[in-house]
Parts: sequence; structure tokens; C-alpha cells
Amino acid sequence: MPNNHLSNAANTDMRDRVQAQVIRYALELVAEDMAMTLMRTARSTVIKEVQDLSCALFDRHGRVIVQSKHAPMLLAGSTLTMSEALKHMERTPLQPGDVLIANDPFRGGQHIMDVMMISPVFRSEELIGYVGSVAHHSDLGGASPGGVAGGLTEIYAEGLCFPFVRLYIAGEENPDLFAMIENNIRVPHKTLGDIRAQASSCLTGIRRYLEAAERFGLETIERTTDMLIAETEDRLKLGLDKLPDGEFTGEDVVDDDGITDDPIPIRVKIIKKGRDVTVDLAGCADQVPGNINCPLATTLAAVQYGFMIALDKHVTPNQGVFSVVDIKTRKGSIVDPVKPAATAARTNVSLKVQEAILIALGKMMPGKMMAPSHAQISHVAFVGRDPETGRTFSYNDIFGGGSGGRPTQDGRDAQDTHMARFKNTPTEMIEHEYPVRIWSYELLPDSGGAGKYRGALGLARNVEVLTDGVVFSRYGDRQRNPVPGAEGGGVGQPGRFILNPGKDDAPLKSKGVDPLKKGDIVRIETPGGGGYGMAADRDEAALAADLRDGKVTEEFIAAEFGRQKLALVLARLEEPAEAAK
Amino acid sequence: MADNQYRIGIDVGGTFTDVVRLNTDTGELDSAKVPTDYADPVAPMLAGIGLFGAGVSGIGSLRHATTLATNAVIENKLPHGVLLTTKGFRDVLDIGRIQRPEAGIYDFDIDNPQPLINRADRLEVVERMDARGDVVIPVDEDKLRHMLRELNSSDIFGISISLLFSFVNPVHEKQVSEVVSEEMPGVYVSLSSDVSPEIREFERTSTVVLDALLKPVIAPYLETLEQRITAAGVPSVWIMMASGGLTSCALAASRPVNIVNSGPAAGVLASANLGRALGINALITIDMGGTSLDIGVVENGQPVQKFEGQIAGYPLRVPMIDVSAVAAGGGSLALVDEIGFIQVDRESAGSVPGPACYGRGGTRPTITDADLLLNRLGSDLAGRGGFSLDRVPAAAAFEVEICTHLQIDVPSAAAGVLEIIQARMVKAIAGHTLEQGLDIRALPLLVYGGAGPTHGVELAEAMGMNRAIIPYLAGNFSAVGLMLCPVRWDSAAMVMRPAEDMSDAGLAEVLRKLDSEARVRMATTGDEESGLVTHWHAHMRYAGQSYDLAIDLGVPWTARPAENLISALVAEFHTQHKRRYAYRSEEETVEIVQIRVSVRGEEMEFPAPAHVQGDGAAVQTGQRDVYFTGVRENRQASVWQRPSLPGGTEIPGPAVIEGEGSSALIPPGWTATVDRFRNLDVRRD
Repeated sequence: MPNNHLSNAANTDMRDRVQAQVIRYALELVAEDMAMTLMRTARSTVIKEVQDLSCALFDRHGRVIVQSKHAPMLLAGSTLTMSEALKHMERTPLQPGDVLIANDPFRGGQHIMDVMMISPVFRSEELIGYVGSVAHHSDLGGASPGGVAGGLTEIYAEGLCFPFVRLYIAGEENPDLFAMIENNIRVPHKTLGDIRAQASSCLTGIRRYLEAAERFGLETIERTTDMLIAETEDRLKLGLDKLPDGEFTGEDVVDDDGITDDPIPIRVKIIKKGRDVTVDLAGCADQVPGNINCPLATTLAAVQYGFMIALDKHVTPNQGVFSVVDIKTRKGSIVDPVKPAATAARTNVSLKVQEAILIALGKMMPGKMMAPSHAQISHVAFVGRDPETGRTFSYNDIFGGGSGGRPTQDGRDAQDTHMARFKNTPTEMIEHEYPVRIWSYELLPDSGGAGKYRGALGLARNVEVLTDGVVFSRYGDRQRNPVPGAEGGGVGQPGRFILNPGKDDAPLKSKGVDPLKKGDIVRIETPGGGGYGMAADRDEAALAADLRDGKVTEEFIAAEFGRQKLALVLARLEEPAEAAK
Repeated sequence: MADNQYRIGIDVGGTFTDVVRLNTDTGELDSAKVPTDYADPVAPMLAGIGLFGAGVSGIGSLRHATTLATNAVIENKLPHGVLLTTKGFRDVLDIGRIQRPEAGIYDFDIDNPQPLINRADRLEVVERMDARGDVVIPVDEDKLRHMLRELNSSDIFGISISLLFSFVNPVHEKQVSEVVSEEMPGVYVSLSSDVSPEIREFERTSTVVLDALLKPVIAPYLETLEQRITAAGVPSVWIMMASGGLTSCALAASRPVNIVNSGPAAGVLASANLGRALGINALITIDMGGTSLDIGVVENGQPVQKFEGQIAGYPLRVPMIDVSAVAAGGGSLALVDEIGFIQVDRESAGSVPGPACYGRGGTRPTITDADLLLNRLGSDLAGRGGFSLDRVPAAAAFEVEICTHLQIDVPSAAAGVLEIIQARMVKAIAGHTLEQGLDIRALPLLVYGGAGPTHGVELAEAMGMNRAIIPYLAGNFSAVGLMLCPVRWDSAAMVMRPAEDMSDAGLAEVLRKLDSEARVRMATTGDEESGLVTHWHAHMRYAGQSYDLAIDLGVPWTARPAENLISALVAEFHTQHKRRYAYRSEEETVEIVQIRVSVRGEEMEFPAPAHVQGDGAAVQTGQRDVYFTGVRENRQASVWQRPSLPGGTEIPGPAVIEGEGSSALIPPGWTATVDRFRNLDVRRD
């Protein structure tokens, strides 16, 4: 074979890198196998279908090697929880087959419903690494089902809070703990099923990890781990090299905490010098009585997510992600709350942190970052008694809104955005299960911010209750402060909840609880995304298509783009070929 | 000799049209390869048949898998259409299930695809049905007529109708459809209650829209095809569906959504069939071609089916063989990324220009180029459609795109590329089987497709499997599968009731209705043949679950009354649930979600040739240095010509067995045996 300019060092280096790629695929498969085991054997929809979970492999130092990528919001949790777990294990060393359970928001956790499990991987006597997973559980007791009711002001009401305790001891269930859990939750067979599924995914992970160590050799895997972490760091640092030095700020605001009406500012500052980056979140508001406080792990995830999408979309989310950016928070602030802050609805804050970071990053990379998005989750629940079965029903639904316009295209209407990933419930499933009628599920015309590229439209659903005595509880946000645009783009339209549209048209609070009677219709409108770029630069054909499709009205065009543009657009729609397209 | 002892199978690919002929008397298979003609796809079919020498005499049927429907969707070449839907719900196609595709988690420019029908062309009908199928608001016909008259109908080619709860009560959809045919006679119409009578409005609407928009594309093609083929003297023409069954041209044209993604189905069906002939009930199949790796699973002797898939991001709810595709094939491009890592999962050279070694203008290195440079492929492969592979442009491509960046030599670069693509394929195959909850290591791997034989045994090796089977005519195995496929039509109905509320008589009534629905449909287009069997299964779940399991008792339905079906279904459901999801829960209510019926003709048994060619001793035709990924080095491999190998021949690795347009690699530590079907049965020593 030809061997013209063979350089031994280069070939060795290349072989190492190839090996690293091969091992990365193999370890990702281990994480995927863990996730699949969890999804396959769990019982609740949120794990099985919404895939609100993440699984990870750690080396013997507790560094993340690979993670399954299902839920970006849960990514950072693994490192922070692991560092807390390591502290715990220093005091109480783990044995083979032990599984730790933890969900304490003030010790590396997310919120109560996101439960982390960690298990050591031993090869005979030697500790060689850890496997772990975090997954959203549907019932951990607490003052209300699902743990999302507004009005709760202390963590104690939100459900069982596990410090680092052993769920499994030497491969066997810890019966005391299981009994304790079972006695404190509403739907024990389901939740315990999910808990066992998560534990068995850890056991699967251990087995597969050991097989990989056997196949590739532990030494090779450990060398590879360093390379993979360095690879992620390199990618991010190369991305940083393209950004200017300096201080860049981003700001967003949460409407209120549901207890008072005070706006809650979220302020971030990115300080960059060469490859040293600090993100300062000290300017964020103090923690609040309402349940929207955002635990540190979720805050870190929001910041890291922002850097990942800004710097390199091919990045492998491992320990390298966590070492590139130094994140500073203020204890007692809404992004690093202390006990007994309530945290169930943290997404309303974490998504604002993510937006503020993206706004700051946008200033560092003009023309490359999308405009701000709705950054809220409207979670609604209709609870009452089904007249036909006599049983209590609880129709829960979550809604996204409009994402921002993008540097090269409009926002995609009514889709989930950034870190928040979820699925809706089909209208036919809702009506099949609950005594309600859905009269519409549609895009909200004119709700996206104007611009060269339009912000995505928010959406609306009209829900009629078909029985008396229904309680409508919800938390939404972005109903007072619209989504800003970027690079000169217009703001998105705020969301709102309305009682009996077209008749009473009574506005309802974004976070609250109200009784409904038979025949009442609640209209849920979610906010639209911010526009990107100057409205004057919008392509006329795109505007004409929007008008033809009823995504914007003539009034909107006249107001945002001017009468002259409207006349041109209307003329364009007159042309038969254009109208037909 | 029977009048119609030949069956012809035709698989039209991007580069070649594969034509395979089976002599049903002798079990002999012949194959021919003709360049595909996009302008006139039928001409190469006739030309291919002509190559067998006997003309059309003796041909009983022609079976055809077309990618026309799949490509029309992927390439966005669908005509203009209209959707009629319930007032308040025209945005269902935009909103979808809200969730962005997984590829878009860290890339905000990646979206679900835009709806196939513009918002302005989604028209709302004033009407409403409730969840029980009771009318809340009747259809406002006047308004509907008025709306239809406003349309410029000369410009509309397909109308889809999808109303809420039409799967419970289709009368509103039928009423709307009648108005449409009065107002716009001759336009293609599809009803969601007909195409996909299933709960979940987004997926159902997406399916019916695809169906209506494909009709104007598919119907004329199938009409021409049938006309020309029958005019040439072939008595019957059958079309492959994604379900693994065949249907007539007329029925396929009336439900074109059924033929989307039908390409990989015949191969998996043939694999299951071959597996049964070999006494294997569970196996994994991989079809590795130029651009993609298609992975299938066979369990209980049958291809695993699924009932929801997608095409180009659009959900599709029809019965289909469960095949998952990853972008990994002979044409996958290798590149060095920003930070000096080799990547193979970002782009493909496709069929144009193809790998650099094809000498058709490709200048970037592909997997096929790596195989050639490492002697895993011979440069002069007979049956590759008349062109040989050229090492010079292949080496140049590696030199420029990989070697200069990394300061390494060509063989090392090629070996690295192969290792990485292999790891990627292992992850994809293992990932797909994990979803099924299977332990892959206990199963054999059946490998086919042009590039399959070169990579398949090493993949089995890397996954810890102990057996790989490379079928005869591996490069045309999908076309071989077409010979075996049965005639088939499916029907389905939602039930959505606790099993305990349902009687055996009630179930029998549902089955009788679905059975007659399918048979009537088959009869009107001449699909009916003797020996039809009614298979059926129930989708079941524990109340409150959002997913279900297909429970098949394995007993065909007959008009004779059967007892204890419901209790048998419930018992089997608990068992299957435990097997698949690791728990059973006797105390929970079991629901029957849906009943499906599949009326099928007979599936032909895998043809065993009466005598395996060349009864003399096998002759080694050469030897060469070949790179094997398992040992990560070159080994001196023996070279053999596959067509001349007699049955029973044993060839120990390292070896290369060439022929039929591909090159089978037998790594060191494995031995290939030619079995009575002329397969290479390759086992770990």
C-alpha cells in the first residue's frame, strides 16, 4: 500500500480520535439504552411520551462523559447533582448495587417533580464511574396533584423532597424508603412503577458500562473521556474566539409571581476576555413567595443551553460544556433561591434566563441569533366531577406560544421553543376523556412581531365546560410584558386568558384559580414571538402570503409596514398567478 | 410447463431499475439491471424483461415497488390541493403536536415541515360531531357550496376532508364529499374516515392530505403502467404497499398513501419468509444501499409492523412494516470537521454524482471509496451495470479532503472512516432493536442491499452477534421479496371501550364488518383471489395510558362464532405488556382501543432452487490483501466468485466472495457456508 507521507505521530493521533468517535457512539448507546429502559418500563405519559428525562454516564471523578439529549432543561442538573452527590458519598461511601435518589432543589436538584438517581459502577472492587438519570414524575404527594398548583409559597407543600438517600441497597429495594414513599403519594402504583423503572434503567446502565469497559478496555475509555471532554471544550472555545471581548447585557422580565403583581426582572451580564467567560446573574431579582423560583441547576442549564446553540450546534453535551463558562449567581435570588422557596413553576423564570442570555449573546454575534420567544408555559387545569361517571376528572394542558423570527426565516408558528419541549393533547383525546368541548384550536393572527422575518404566531384554544362546579387553575406568563423583537423587529402580542369571549370577555389573571359553571367558555391565548430585523426589509411576497393566509390582517400591515406597503401587497394579491400560489 | 410459471419483480431505484424473474416451477431466480429512465420509467422495465430472452411468454404476474409517491413527498412535488375541515380547526396542520423534531433541539433553524396545504386553502365547514358521534351542529351545506363555488377549481387537483370525530361517525364527511362531487365533478377526493379512521386529528388529517395530494401524481402513472405492461402481454400487474402486501393498480391509485415508504417493505418481508424457511423466527435485517441503512426486525416469523410512521416529517397513519432508516450508505461522505475530527454523518453523495470511484464527477470521499481503496471491493465487479470502479479519483478524494488536513496516509484515513461509519451503524441498529426490547446478540443478522454484504458480517461481529446471513441476489433482495408478497387489504375501526364492557358477539360484529369492508374493496378492483385469509388484531392498553399494544391471538377470523375471544385478548395483553414493558397490572381496567383487520392472500414459500449451480468443487479465483475492521489490519484474503459456488461449500475467513454486483466480506474468525437457498450463512467460529 502507498505510504507516501506517513507521519507516525499524526497517525497515532488520528487513530485516537477515531477511537474516541467509536467509543462516543458506544457510550451514547449506553445512555440511550438507559433512556429506552426507563421509557419502556415507566407508567406515566410524561416519561413515556413527552420524554421529560435525561440519562448520563460519569467517569470515576464524577465528570459527565455522555448524556441522552431528550430534555435540554435537565442537562446541567447532572453535574450539579453529581457534585452534591460526591460530597454525600465522601461521608457515606456507596456499595455496588446502591442507587441514590435525590430531588432537593437546594442541593443540585431541579424541582420536586424531577427526580435524580445515581448509581456507582464497580468493576470487582474498583469504582470506575457512575450512571445517573433524571426524570419528571407525576405524583410525589404534596398539597396538590401534579405539584403545579399556584398559591403555594413553600417547598414543603410541593411534595416529597429526597436528600441523597439509598433507594436500593446492594441491588435490593430499601423497603423502609419504599414504604415511606408509598404512604405519602396519591397514585402509588404508578409512581412506584416509575421509580422502579428509573432504578432499573440505572442497573441497565451499569451492566452496559461494564460491557463497554470490557470491550474497549477501561484505560482506553478513560483516555477517550479526556479527549471527548476536550473536544467539547475545543468546539466551544473555537466558537468563543469568533466573539468579541467585552461586557454584554441581556434583560427579560417575568410578569409576576402570582402572589403580588410586581414585575420580576431577570438581568444577565456576559463578561468575556479571550476564552475567559463569566456570566453574572447577580442582577436578577430576589426570590419570591410564589412558586416560580428557579433552582440553581435549572439556571445553569439555561445559561449553558444558550452558549451551546450560539457556539456550535454539533457539540456533545458533556463535562466540557460546564467548564467553559463561569456562572455567578447570588444566593437568595430568584435564580439561586434558598429554602423554603417554592419552585414548581420554575420554567417561567428559567426560560426568561435563557432569553436574557440569548439577547446578550445576540449582541455579541449580530445577525446570527434569533429574536426572543414567548418563554413561558401556560399550564391549565380544569378539575371537577364528571356527571356521567361520578368521578373526579382533571384535564391538564400545556401551551407554548410563538418563537422569535430568525436571521434567515420566520419563526415557525406555534411550536415548542428552546429548552422547553413538550407535546399537546389532541382535541379528540380531550373530548373523549373529559366533559369539555373544544370549539377552536388555532393560530392567533397578528400575534407575531413584525420584522424582516416575522415572529411566530401564538395560539388559542376555546374550552367550554359541560358541567357545573369546575375549577379552572392555571399559571401563565408574558401577559403584561410582550416579547421584544431583535435587530429592529417588532414585539409579539402578549397572551391572555378570557372568560366567555364575545359575551362577558372577562379577563382572568395569568396565575390563579376560578370556579366555572356549565356553559362557560375559557379562551386561552398564548403570546407571539418577537420579530427579527426591520419591517421595511420584509419581502413583499412573504407579506402577501401572510395576508392571503390570514396570518396577518390588512390593519396589521398598515400599522406595522405602512399604507404604501399595504397597497403594494394588495396589488400583488390581485395578480391571479400570485393568488393561486 | 405451466403457462405462467414466471413472476417478475421490479424495483425502480434512483440509478438502476432492478428486474428479477422467478421460475415458480424450478425455484430459479434471474436478475437484470437497467439504467433508470426518469422520463419513462416503464421502458427500462420492458427492456429488463427482454434481457431474460424469453420475452413475456410464460409471465404470470409483474410486481412493482415504486418510489414515485415517496419521492413526490420528499422532493415536495405535490400538486395544489384543498382541505375541508371542522370550523375552528383549520390550523391543526400548522400546530401539529407542538414538538419540534429531535434534530432541532440545539439548532433553532430546524423545524417540522410546513403544512402541505396553505392556510388560505384550508376551508372550514360549519358542522360539529361529539366524541360519541352525535351531531352537535349539522353540516351547513349552503355555506359549503358557496365556499366551493368561490374556488378556482381548474387549479385544484386534490381535496381532502377531515372533520372532528369522523372516525366515530363518518356521515358528515360523506355528506361533505357528496357536495364536493356535485360542485366539482372529477376532482380527486379523500376522506379521513376512509383513509385513516383513527383518533388524533393531526395525524389523521396529515394522512388524508397526503393521500389526496398523491392521487393526481400516482393515478395517471399506474394507469399508464398497467396499460403498457398488459399491452406487452403480461396478464397482471401488482403494486407494493408499505404494509408488506400487494394490491392492484386501481386500488393503489385509490389509496396512494398506502404505497408511501413501500421501498424497504418487500426486503423485510422476504427476510421473515427466508427466516421461516431456515427455521429462524427472530432476526434483524439491514438493507445498506447508496444513501441509507434500513433496519427491520422479524419476530415470531413475521416482520414487526407499526401503524404510524412519517414521511419527510409528515405523520402517516397506515399499516406498515416497521423500518427505521439512518443516513449511512456507500455514498455517505467523509469529512474533517472544524476541530480535526473525521465525521461521516453530515452529507451524502447520493446517486448523483455518487462516490468518487464511480468516475461521474464525484470529488469527495465516500464509504464505497474507502472500501475500494482497502481492497474490500474489487474494481471490476460484474453486474454493476456496466461500469468499473476507479481507484485514482477515490485516492485523490481522500488525499485532498482528509489526508492533507490530518497529515496521514490514504489507507489510514480510509480505515478510520470505515471504523466511524461502523460505530454509527452499530448505534443505529442497536438503538432500533432496543425500542423493541430485544437482546440483539442472540439473533442472526440478515444483510442485503448493494453495500450490505461488504459491511454486514463485520457489523454482526461488532454487535456481538454470532451469525449473519447474506441471501442470494443480496443486491436485489427487495425485488426478490416482491415475488413472495401476498395480496392484501386492511381495514380498521376505533372501539375505545373497556374490554369488560364488550361481548364476544360485539367483537365478532366489528370483525365481520371490517372483513366485508376489505373484501368488498378488493372485489371491486379484481384484487379478490381464492384463499384469502382474514387476519386481525386488537390494540389494547390499560385505561389512561397514551400508547397501546397490538395484540394478535394468531387465529384468523372466520364467520363461525368464536367464544372467549375477549378474555383471551385480555390475558394475552397482560402477558405481552409484561414482556414489553416489564410489568402487568391485573387490577387496572384494560381497554380495547382499536380493531384492525388484514385480509391477505397466500404468501409464497421461499423458493429453493431445484439444483444449486456448479456441482463440482468450488474454485478459489485469487487472493488479495484486504482490510478488516475487526482486527484493524490487512489480512491476506482468499477470493471467490459467488455464482459458481456449489451448495455446501465452506469458506473460512478471511475471504472475499464476489458476484451479483457486490462483494461479501468474511472476516477472520468467521466461516461462510453456501446453503440450499444459495445464501451465504456466515457464523463465528
